Formats: sequence, C-alpha cells, structure tokens
Amino acid sequence: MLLIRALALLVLLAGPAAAFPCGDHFADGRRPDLVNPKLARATTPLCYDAFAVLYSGLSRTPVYAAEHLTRASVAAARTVDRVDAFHDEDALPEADRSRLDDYVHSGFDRGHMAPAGDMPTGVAQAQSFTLANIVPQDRAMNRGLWAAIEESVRRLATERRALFVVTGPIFGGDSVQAINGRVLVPTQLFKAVYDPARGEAGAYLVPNRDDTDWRSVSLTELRGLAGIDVFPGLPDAVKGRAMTLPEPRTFSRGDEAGAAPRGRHRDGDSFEAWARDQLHRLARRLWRDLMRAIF
Amino acid sequence: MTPKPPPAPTPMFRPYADAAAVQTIGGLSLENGPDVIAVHGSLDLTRDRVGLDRARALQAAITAIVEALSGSDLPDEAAAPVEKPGTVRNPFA
Repeated sequence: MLLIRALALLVLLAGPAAAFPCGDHFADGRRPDLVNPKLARATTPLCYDAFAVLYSGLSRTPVYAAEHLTRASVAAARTVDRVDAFHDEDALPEADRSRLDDYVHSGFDRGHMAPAGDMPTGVAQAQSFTLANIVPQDRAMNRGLWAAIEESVRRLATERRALFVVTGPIFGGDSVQAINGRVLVPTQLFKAVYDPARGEAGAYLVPNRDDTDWRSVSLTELRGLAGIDVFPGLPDAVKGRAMTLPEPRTFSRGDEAGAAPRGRHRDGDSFEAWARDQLHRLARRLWRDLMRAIF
Repeated sequence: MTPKPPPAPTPMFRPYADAAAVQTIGGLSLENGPDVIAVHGSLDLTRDRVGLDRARALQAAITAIVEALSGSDLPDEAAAPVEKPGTVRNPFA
C-alpha cells in the first residue's frame, strides 16, 4: 500500500511537463502531430537545452524544431557573442546525417530552424549549429525576410512574455530539389507561434526563394499545407483563426524603428517602386484585418 | 535521445580554413567557408564598453581575413563553384 502511494506520488511529482524528455519546449508538453504519416518515417527525436528537433532521415532535415521563448530567454540571447561551428549530428545514424560537404558548394545557405539568435546560453547556441537543425535555404531570403521574421518573433516574445514556436520546412509537389543528391530543399518554410496567455496562434509562411513575400496562415491551413498539427492541444477555434502577426522588420539589436528587409523589392530601388510596394502592403493588410473583423 | 555536446574546445575562426566556423558579434554573423566568408546581419556599435568589445572583435576578424587574403596569390575575381541541385521524388507526397 505504502509502495503504491509512493509510486503515485512519484508519478504526480513527475508532472505533465516531464511527460517525456524535452517536454518543456512544447506547448502543453505535447509534440506536434504528424497528420501526414509519411513525415514520421525514419525520424529521430533530438533534445537540446533550448529547443527540440524531430529529424527526418528521408529529407536529411528537421521535420520541425520547437522552442519556448520567454522575455528572459530573449534578453539572455542578445548577449551571446562567440565563435561556433556547424557540425554533423553524432546522435543520428550515420547514413541519415546531413554533412558539411552537402552544403559547401550547394549555393544555399545553411538555414537554422531554431535560430541561433534565440539561444539564451553559449551551450544552447553551440547546439543550434547542429546540421540536424538546418535546411537548405535561399540565401537572400534567409538573410533578409527570414531574419526579419525571426527578429519579429523575438520581439513579440518580449512583448507577450512567452511564446511557443514551431518552425519547419514544407516539401511541396511530386518532385523536389536535392543538394549533393542527399539533402532535400524545402519549397516553403513556416514559423508558427502560440501565445498561451492570450490563447491565440498563427504562422508565417514563406516560399524558399528570393523576391518573395510572406503570408499569414491559421494553424488549420498550415496543417493542410505542411501535414503537421503544430500545437495539437489547442481548441479548433484557436487553430482556425490566424492571430495578427507582426510585420517582419529588419532591426539592428538596439534599433526600435527598424527598416523594411532588403531583398523584398529587388528592382525597386526607386522611391516610386518603394512607395508602390508599401501601398500594396498596406492595402493587403487592411483587407486582411477587415476579413478578420468580419469572420 | 540527448545528443552529445558539440566537440570541445571552443571553435576558432580561421579565415577560409574550414566550412564550419561562425563568429557572432551582436546581430552580425561571419560564416567561414573555403571560398567565401559570408557576413550578414546588422550590428550597433554603442558608445560604451559593449560597443568597444564588439568593435575590437570585428576589427580582429577583419584583420585576420585581410591577412589570410594578402598571404596568397589571388585571381582578379573568382567565381565560387556551385553544383546545381538535382531533382528527386518527393518522399512525403
């Protein structure tokens, strides 16, 4: 009897956060659901200090990376200056690993899913350079629009105190590109955020190419596109309505004003092109807000 | 599964010597490569101790790059080799 009680107490103490290792990085301690069962083949879950990855031996990329960003973790991340090294992931079966030489002459950037800039400690930042956290990403998009989305999410986490974030690639179409014949090139990338205090969620969706724009999608739409239910514990009403996501801006770290990311309007060096672009964006934003107000 | 920590000791930034090292200075990244060092991001050099440390880190990195480039016989302009990606069946479709 005493033994049973002791066991029950142990289970209680373990609590929901420790339901599985790394559970703290996931909203409600629940991993994303892979509604496309093909995504689950040849996968390895990997746990790091500040993020978790589900890695696919088929694409040799993450299926997703999950993080819990807080005001404190973002503030700590801003002070991490150091030298790191991209590295093969020893925890994976050797044939499944992506390697440094897959990327060297690929013409693609090594794009972080859980960003190095989110990492609150030197150790966590070093871990973020595992190739298990990396996808082949368009260079201009990675350094421009995508970097701006990452920074905007950090700022949102600071403003809202805490966010759960799931980032991943989407492989669309019957055939996809592969670098070095081994690592698949995503056609799109998503970054989904969930604000547990306000009970709202949404995702940035960006094609993996230059000269492109992002759009905001609900988790329900993302589920259809990516085959992943990123925050399975949320009510359908929350999944069905995309929250208002901050416009991605490029910031230097102390600069509150920010500037529109470069690479958005390549042939738009003139003021006229810039103004047209801004007007277009404003109109689209108003339309989006109007639609949201109606439905 | 908990991966082992990445190999110690702390990596060094030796310009053009490897395809692995990345130096972070504020919001700026210097990404090493055999043919190209990519510098991206942005950086505020504030008029304080942090600004001085970061200015020195940037200066040291640039000095090392200039030294590495000056020490060898360089072509006027070299195109970095790029292997076009192939096309494969989408295993998730």
